[in-house]
Amino acid sequence: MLKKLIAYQKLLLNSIPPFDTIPPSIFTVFLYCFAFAMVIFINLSIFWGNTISSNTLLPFTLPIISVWMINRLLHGNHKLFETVPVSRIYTMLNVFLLSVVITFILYILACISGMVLIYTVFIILYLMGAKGGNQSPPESAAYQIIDTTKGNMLMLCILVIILFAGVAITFIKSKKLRLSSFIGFTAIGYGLLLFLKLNMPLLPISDKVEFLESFSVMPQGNTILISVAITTVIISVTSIFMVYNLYVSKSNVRKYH
Amino acid sequence: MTNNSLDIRNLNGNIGDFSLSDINLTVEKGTIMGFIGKNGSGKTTLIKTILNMIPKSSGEVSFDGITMFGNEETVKTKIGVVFDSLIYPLNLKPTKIKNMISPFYKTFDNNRFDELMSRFELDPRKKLSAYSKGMQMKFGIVMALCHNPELIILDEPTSGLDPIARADVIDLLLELMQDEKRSILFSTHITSDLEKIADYITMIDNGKIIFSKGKDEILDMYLLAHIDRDVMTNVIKSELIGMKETTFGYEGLCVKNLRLQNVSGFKTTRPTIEDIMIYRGAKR
Repeated sequence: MLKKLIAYQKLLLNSIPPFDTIPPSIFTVFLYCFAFAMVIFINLSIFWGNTISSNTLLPFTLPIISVWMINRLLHGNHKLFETVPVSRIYTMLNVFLLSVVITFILYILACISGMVLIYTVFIILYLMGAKGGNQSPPESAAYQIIDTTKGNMLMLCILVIILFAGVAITFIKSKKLRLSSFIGFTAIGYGLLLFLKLNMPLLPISDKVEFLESFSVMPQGNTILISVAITTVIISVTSIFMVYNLYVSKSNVRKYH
Repeated sequence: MTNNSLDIRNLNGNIGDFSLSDINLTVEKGTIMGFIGKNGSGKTTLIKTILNMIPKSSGEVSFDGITMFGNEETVKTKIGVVFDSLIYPLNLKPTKIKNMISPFYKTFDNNRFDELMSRFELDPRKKLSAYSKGMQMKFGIVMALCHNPELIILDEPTSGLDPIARADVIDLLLELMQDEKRSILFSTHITSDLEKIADYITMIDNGKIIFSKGKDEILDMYLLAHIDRDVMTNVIKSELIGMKETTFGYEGLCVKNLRLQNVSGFKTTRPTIEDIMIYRGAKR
């Protein structure tokens, strides 16, 4: 059972099509650059501050990359994973699991790359005999005084929502409908986050709004967190149900295709 | 359990502007069905539709009496498919791909894998990207056969192969047919391959089945007519199924019981499957 599960995850990972050797059209390149710039701009406008760190950016970036890879997997020319004898429900559940696996792999890669980068910079500075400068880590000790557990839990909920809702949208076969759903989901998600940030209190230390810290000291933080957690569960269950209807259920098979 | 490995009834489906219309096709156990048609006629689309990779809008497809939908595990164990291009990741070695695929088949035969790799002179230590197109196709055939499938679906498997490799594939298919329960659906442009091994021929054009009959029945049904230029009339033209002008006159396909056979300057010979494919295609 476990061996089969691991084999299927490997199969899914290997079914992600390689990048096309034919260069994409200028319009496609422009579209990708525009989307990338928009995501960066919105992320920075929401999370920009002294404490912007991997804690705030990774929960957004990694699941988005994961969903994008699954989108390529499901809409590639050759679906190797569909040639082996497994049921559709098994495939569906494994695709959801794959989104978590890809996110985890990317997180490990990001951590390794980050550590390599930090140590390289540190070694270069050490060899150059650099003295002075700011020796403190990016997130200063002053900010670490605030317990950001609530903020981190919010980020975890957001990560789960992006993965489940994103994967569910990738199962929509119609390209226009899929793209519209992605845009709608992104707009609603970022709109809600921006609204949340506008209602966050200023931090007494910096007199600024820092997303994680401000959320953690927000008076309504607990209520919002419980609401988001409940929403996460509802969205996750709804996403699985939606994919079941799109991909597994016989009566609705043509909707997926 | 039925006597048919594959049974397609009133199948309709579409992908983009192309549609499959009212497809009826049966592959009996122990037989080889040759599947012909020009490029874009719908061969690959039909194969992908029956494998549930492209949706059908109506109709029934059953494998040994079992429908694919809801029975993927059972049905896919019984079939082996070779697609028109390699579906395996090119950055992997054959052994790794075998290890990735084999856990899904209880009947996967590792010895058979080694034997076929050796037979096709494929080096398991090389990555698939280092294989030529023909070698990649041979590897696709190896992977489709290792789990001992009852129905083998081949989508132009010999198109990239040299004559020696093609002959080897044909021999292998004939060996496989020693098992009376096994069947093959063999889509190809190389009709000479079908003349060697096919029991039945199905021709598709523009998403519709033109005919699906026994090979000998089809070859007996038609004649290839060679008509002198000076005896050609509109009546003869109207009786021909597709026609082309040659150096000496005209050549076309006609049905065997055509009454014009006694006309001087009107000679007939036995057609090949390729002739039938060309002229039936030209008719449209």
